[in-house]
Amino acid sequence: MKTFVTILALGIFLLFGSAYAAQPPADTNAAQKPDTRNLDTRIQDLKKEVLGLNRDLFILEEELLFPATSQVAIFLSMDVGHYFKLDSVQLKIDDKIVDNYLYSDREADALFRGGVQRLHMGNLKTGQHELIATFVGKGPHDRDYRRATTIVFEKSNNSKYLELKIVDSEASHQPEFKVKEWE
Amino acid sequence: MRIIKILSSLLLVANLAWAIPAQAAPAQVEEITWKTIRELDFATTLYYFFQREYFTAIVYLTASQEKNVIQYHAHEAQILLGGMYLSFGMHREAGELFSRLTKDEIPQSVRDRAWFYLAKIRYQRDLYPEAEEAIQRIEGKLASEDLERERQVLHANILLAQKRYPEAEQILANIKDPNKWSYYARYNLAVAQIRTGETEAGRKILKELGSIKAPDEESQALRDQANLSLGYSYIQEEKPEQALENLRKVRLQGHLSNKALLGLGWAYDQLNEPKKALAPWMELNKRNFFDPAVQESLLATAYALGKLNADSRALEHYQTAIEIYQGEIQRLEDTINLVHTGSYLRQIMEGETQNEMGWFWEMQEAPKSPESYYLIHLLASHTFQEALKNYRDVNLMISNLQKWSEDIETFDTMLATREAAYAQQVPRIKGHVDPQQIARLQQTRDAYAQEIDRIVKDNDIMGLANSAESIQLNKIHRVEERLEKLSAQRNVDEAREKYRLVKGALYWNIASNYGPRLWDLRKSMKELDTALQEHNRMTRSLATRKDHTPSDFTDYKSRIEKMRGQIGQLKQQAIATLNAQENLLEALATHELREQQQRISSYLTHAQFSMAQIQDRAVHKEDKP
Repeated sequence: MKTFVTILALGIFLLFGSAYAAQPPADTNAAQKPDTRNLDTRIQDLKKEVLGLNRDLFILEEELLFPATSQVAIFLSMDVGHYFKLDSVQLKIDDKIVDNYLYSDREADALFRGGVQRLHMGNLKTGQHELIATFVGKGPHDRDYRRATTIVFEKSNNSKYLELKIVDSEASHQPEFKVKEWE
Repeated sequence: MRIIKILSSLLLVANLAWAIPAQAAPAQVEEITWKTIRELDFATTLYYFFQREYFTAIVYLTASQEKNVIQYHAHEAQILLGGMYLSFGMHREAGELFSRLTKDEIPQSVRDRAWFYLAKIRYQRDLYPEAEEAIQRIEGKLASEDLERERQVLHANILLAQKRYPEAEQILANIKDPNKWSYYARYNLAVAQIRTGETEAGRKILKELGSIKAPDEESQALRDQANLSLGYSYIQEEKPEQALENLRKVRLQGHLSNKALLGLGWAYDQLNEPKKALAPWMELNKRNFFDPAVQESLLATAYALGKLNADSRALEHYQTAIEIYQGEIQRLEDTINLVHTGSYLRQIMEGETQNEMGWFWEMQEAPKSPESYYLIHLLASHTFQEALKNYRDVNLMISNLQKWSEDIETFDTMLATREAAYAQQVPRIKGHVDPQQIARLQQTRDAYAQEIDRIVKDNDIMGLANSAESIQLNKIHRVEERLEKLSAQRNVDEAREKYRLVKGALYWNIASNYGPRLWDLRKSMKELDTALQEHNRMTRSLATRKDHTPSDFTDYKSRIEKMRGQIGQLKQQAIATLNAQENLLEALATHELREQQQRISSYLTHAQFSMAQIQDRAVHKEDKP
């Protein structure tokens, strides 16, 4: 019976040693437990290759879809953003709608934190073009807000970057919507 | 552009904290520097990074680096990339990257934090020597007291995992103002010491932990654990009174109460008081049977009844225990079979978002199924969680590769469209790219330039006469010739005077406009030169494009083919890896279930044996006269 007690208590002893899930100590059955390390290495290798391939595909797709000579890219950024909560943006180039974008809370938060969104990529011939960006959201005092900004720009044979900036104006306590051309 | 905290948020290291609540994270973020973002592509990477889309962010950043469009933020980009590798579970890449960064490229505080989180992820993946290597790379103290303590605890845990107990003990002893993390580590040390025979040393730690102030549920649970473990260690050494003293400190309502009740019963049994042992065991009999303590209590109750010579009741309890154990063994076998079909893993992954959170992602809820009861400890373990994260990430990669295998077909169409457009443009380009035309234009330009130089050199004011003036000059010249002829026949003085005045006025007009006209000419020449330069440039560009475009198309075709092959190959690799990872997860679950099955089998064997003994005893009693 002493053996019986010892065996049973030993069963519990094994239990109590590994009972605390938060920080389990080295497993006494580690020799039998499946080894995760080899697969972890294999997955690391796979991730590296897949990411490398994705990078190359991304570049190739961009080259095919948007050659540098005709490429135009429109970005959106928010500087601070206390006076405006962005819901959506509409882009028109030469009076034609090229993009409509609705923002999730997560995306709006990423902009608020300083990220810049690449909103639109397209192709344009050289020469003059007009961009109109319309912003919809909530302005000061949570009122519905709809504002547009426009720019006429010259497209050369190089890539054109335009940045739509939503900026807080401390002077007027209103958001301002600007466009910046990048060389 | 927006000024943001770059370096401190790059690693989002606070958010990588191990079980530290998200709302506590910002307090730990160290403000390292404020800097204006000057490159759109770097800022776009941050847009994805802030949304925890690490896969997309890494692809975008590395593509931008490949295109060489990130230069001002080159160092920050490398640190960000290292942090994102970590966040996507790529600790090996992260380690290599951080090793390459020089002290000028990354502040020591950021580097130390990176190594800390590397050590953490490696520890959670059971890569103990690698975790040790990472933690040894930390040069200074981490930013906050809490983080520094966590580092020490992590180091101790890494050493414990490698069975280096004296070194672990030394680190834990040096922790000032220990918190719950160090308590956990000290508990693990104590258990390890007891298991390896350093019983007194282990008990000393458990006694300290059994008396800590416990203001919250978590620390109360830790205190219970310490007292429970102490109690059982005394049972092991057959010191029931000390066992009772400690087991009684365990809360009756806590999650360890079942084990405590079981232990109390064994302690009373060791004191030879089976009646007192029955009380906690019979209480346990009424509780949830998935708990191992409850499983054992069935056997223990029958055993105590046997000791009290209540053989028929003991037999009843053994019989009940045997039926329950047999049923449970079968249920565990059924669960193992179910695990092998993969349906349990599918249940876990069902309803989980397929975003790219990588190492951040955690299983939110165990599936509401009987299997979860058996596997609850495994599901909560680092080993299983990390394996599940890897499984999820491989799934994500398969989806990604599947999408690319469809999208790449459109690349052929895009290329064909461009080739067709180019074929249409070639005749027009040829018309514009005419070297003879360029030479002619240049000759004409040079002729104009030479004429201007001659006019200036010879001071040929009349050379800048406009067309009307030139006509008038010709008329004046003819008048002069007529006057010469007529002067022999008649008096032409009056006519000559008029001629002199008209000629003078004309000459005066031309001369007075000479300066402005020369300036206008030179300006026009400059404009002509600019236009010619632009024309030459465009012509050269067109010529280059005409020459290179066919080879560009060839190059694109070859790149598309190569990548198509890579997509196919990696997809196969990923599927094989997913299957292997699935097998691993199943193996982990099966291992856990088999261990439980083995335990219950041993209970079953004991129950059957004990029952046979009682029956045998009863038979012998009847046989005796």
